[in-house]
Amino acid sequence: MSIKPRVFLVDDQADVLKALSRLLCSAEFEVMTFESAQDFLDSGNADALGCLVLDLSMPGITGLALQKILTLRASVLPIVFLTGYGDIDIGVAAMKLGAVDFLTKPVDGDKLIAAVRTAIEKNRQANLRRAELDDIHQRLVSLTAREREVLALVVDGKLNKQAADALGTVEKTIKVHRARVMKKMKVKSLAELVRLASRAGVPSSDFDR
Amino acid sequence: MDDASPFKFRPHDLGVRQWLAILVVGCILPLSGMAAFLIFNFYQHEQIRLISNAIQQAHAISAEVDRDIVRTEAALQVLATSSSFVNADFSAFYPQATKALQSMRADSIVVVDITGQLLLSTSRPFGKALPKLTTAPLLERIQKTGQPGVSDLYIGPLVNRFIYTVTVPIKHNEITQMLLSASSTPAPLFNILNEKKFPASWRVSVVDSSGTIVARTHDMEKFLGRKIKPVSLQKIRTAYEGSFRSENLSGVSMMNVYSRSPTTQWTIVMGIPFDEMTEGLRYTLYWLIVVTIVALSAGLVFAWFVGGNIAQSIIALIQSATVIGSDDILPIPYLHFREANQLGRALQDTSNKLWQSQISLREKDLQLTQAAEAVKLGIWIFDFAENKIWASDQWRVLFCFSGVETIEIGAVLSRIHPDDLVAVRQTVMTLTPPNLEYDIEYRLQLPEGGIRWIASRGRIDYASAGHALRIRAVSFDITLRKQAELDLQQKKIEIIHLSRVVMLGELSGALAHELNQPLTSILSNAQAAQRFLAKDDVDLNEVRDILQDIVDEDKRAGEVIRRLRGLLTSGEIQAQSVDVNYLVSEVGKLLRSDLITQGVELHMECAADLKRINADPVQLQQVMINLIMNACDAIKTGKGFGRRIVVRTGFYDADNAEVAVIDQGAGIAPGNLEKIFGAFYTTKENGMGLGLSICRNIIEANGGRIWAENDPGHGASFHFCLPLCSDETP
Repeated sequence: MSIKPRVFLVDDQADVLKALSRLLCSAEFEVMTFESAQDFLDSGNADALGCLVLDLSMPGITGLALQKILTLRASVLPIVFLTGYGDIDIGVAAMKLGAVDFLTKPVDGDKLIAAVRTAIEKNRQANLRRAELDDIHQRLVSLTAREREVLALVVDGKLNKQAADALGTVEKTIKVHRARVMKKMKVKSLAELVRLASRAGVPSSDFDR
Repeated sequence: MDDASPFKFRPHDLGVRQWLAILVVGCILPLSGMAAFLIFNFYQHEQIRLISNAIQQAHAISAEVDRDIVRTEAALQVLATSSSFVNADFSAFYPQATKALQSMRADSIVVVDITGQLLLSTSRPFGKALPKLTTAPLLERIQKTGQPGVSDLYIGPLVNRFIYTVTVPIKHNEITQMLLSASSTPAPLFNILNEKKFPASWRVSVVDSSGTIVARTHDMEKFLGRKIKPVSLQKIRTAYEGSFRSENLSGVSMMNVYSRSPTTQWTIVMGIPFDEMTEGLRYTLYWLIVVTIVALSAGLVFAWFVGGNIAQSIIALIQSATVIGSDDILPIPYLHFREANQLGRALQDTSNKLWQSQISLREKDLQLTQAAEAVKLGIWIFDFAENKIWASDQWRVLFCFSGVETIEIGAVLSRIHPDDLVAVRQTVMTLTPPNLEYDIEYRLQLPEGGIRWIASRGRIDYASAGHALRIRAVSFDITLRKQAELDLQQKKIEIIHLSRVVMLGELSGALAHELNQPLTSILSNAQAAQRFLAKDDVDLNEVRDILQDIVDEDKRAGEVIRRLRGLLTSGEIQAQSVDVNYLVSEVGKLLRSDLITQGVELHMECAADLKRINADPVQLQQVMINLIMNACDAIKTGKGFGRRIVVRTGFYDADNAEVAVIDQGAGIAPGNLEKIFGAFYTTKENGMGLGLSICRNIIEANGGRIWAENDPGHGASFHFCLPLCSDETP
């Protein structure tokens, strides 16, 4: 990937922002600073590469609120939280929502840099995973409704005959559909198809009824 | 004795006896004087009547003498018609004359011619040669007037003794040829006088026209022919009758009454001894004096006796009166008169009542004393005029005076703590009607060391003239109470401090965060610098900037600590000139993190021209923090109207600054607007209910007022006002 990952620094205290920015710059990170959560949201970097170093308590939109907003927006930008005082409840909540780390101010430079590295790495992987999923989804989208029904039943481990019974058709038709699904999903084996389907989270419960 | 008493006692006042004596003398002497005057007046009238009677008597005698002379004159006139005178043959006349003499009261009849030659005298035999008269007093007068007359007394040339003659002229052709006289001794006149039976002391005389005594009732021989005193003669000649006073020839003081005959010019002089005339008067006056003296003596004796009785009774009553009220029954001896006995009974009644009231008074006094002792109340009275202090035993104990020593006002003042003395003096000395009562608390410096707090309540009595008479006061020991008050004050301060510490404890997280910010900056900057320095190409400018930032951030951390330490200090209230706006901004800085954490926005609206106030800045910040934190709680428990707190400063009025903390919470139930400032009143789950109570204590201790209001929209506002600094010095 050609774009260098960036560290987005959000803290309401300009001095702190400046100091942290210096620290991260010294570790050769590319740093963007924002004095409030709103500024960050307005900058449109929610889906950018890199990570977010976020002060927990800020006027207006707090750190946690920003995390929720980003989650809702399906952002994969990993977050390293900084807090003035170790509030465990908030920390747990933040971690549940997928925060990479939760550091207490004053934060040790090495720890912060390590956390940021981890976060960036996580972001990189997440981005890769997301690219893969996008690919699978694109393949799934190319399936017809009937093919998707067949896919679900096959992934569920049903035999062709069983699938034909379930769909009220004949085994031969099912076979045709199955071959077409295999082709569209670009897989060579049933096992590979099942793996893709599970990664894409294709539901199968509909047919259990 | 009170000098205002109207009763004046003079030792020389007269007693009852003296006054009664004056009464007696005053009654009797004027009466006697009046009686004497009347008696004197009466006697004077008597005297006048006597004199006028005497004059009439004299007049009667004079008339009788005149009659006698006229009779003789008439007889002589008859004789003068005798023819003997025509032919000058007296031989026939002689017997005629002798015969006529018998019927006349005369001794002899003589005929004299106009030359004075005796022609005939019946005292001589007829024909005997007769001498020529050497003195013929009447001769000339009768020759001149041609009228008969009476001579004065003279010594007859023939008889050689005192005689007087009655003479008629014998005229021929209207010319007096001869004189016919009848001479007589004064004896017949004497008889006339004696016939009248005058009182023996009276002296009655017949005096002829020349003042010669012709006849006299007494000592005829001695006085015959003697002239009366020229003074008397002169008086006699002034009128035909009258009276005058003189000494007679014997040297006796006489009242003379006279009557002069107009025909003969002879005068009857009646001498009444003056003593005799005034004797009755004198006698009566003597009696009057005697009676007066007797009456006076009796009156005085009676006055002495009665006055003695009265005085005795009064003295007995006085003696009783001096012991009035000293016993159940007042002993009163028998008194000499009714009113005194009535007074005695009244005194007895009064004494009995006094005795009763004294008993109840003693009882009350005892109760009062016991009550005063029980509550350790000292009573004292200061008399301005006598400069004396009376004090109860308890008071002496309080002020450390022994039970017997005389207390001087200076000694009392010297025991008052020097710091309180001026205030005490001012309080007491500036009292003027109608504010006469005072109530002060002060300290005593005990002689054995230590301090005693005294509360004194007193009252000044003023005389009607306007000068202070006395102070009455009660004093009691309030040391324990004062100690408790001081302890309470100390406790209050401690509670305020403690609550501040607790409050800061609640804020500790936020405060730590606040401190963390600069520390974070410092650490990050420092580590960044280390990293920069580890590189090959060191950007020194960058490092310099970093170091500068580190210094700034360190200062910021110091500021946070300073703020915190300021709030954690304990101690008494130290009022000073304070900039309210500065304090508000400081509080804002302190609470910044906490407010952020709570998601509350703090908005400040400070009046730029607000003057400084006089207050303790630490406590004031405490109040502000408390109010802002309350506002945060209100917002949290409110229904989410808004998350904004406004702190507004401004002028309450010309003399007071106002600070308001306005929230957007649920507001306060209208009935609770006052209650919320009470201790242990809370609407919070975990609240102690002390925050606002402490706020109120602080604001009131700083001379201000705190109150709450519900805002018309929603939310509540808390306000407090504090006095502005009077001077403009910052």
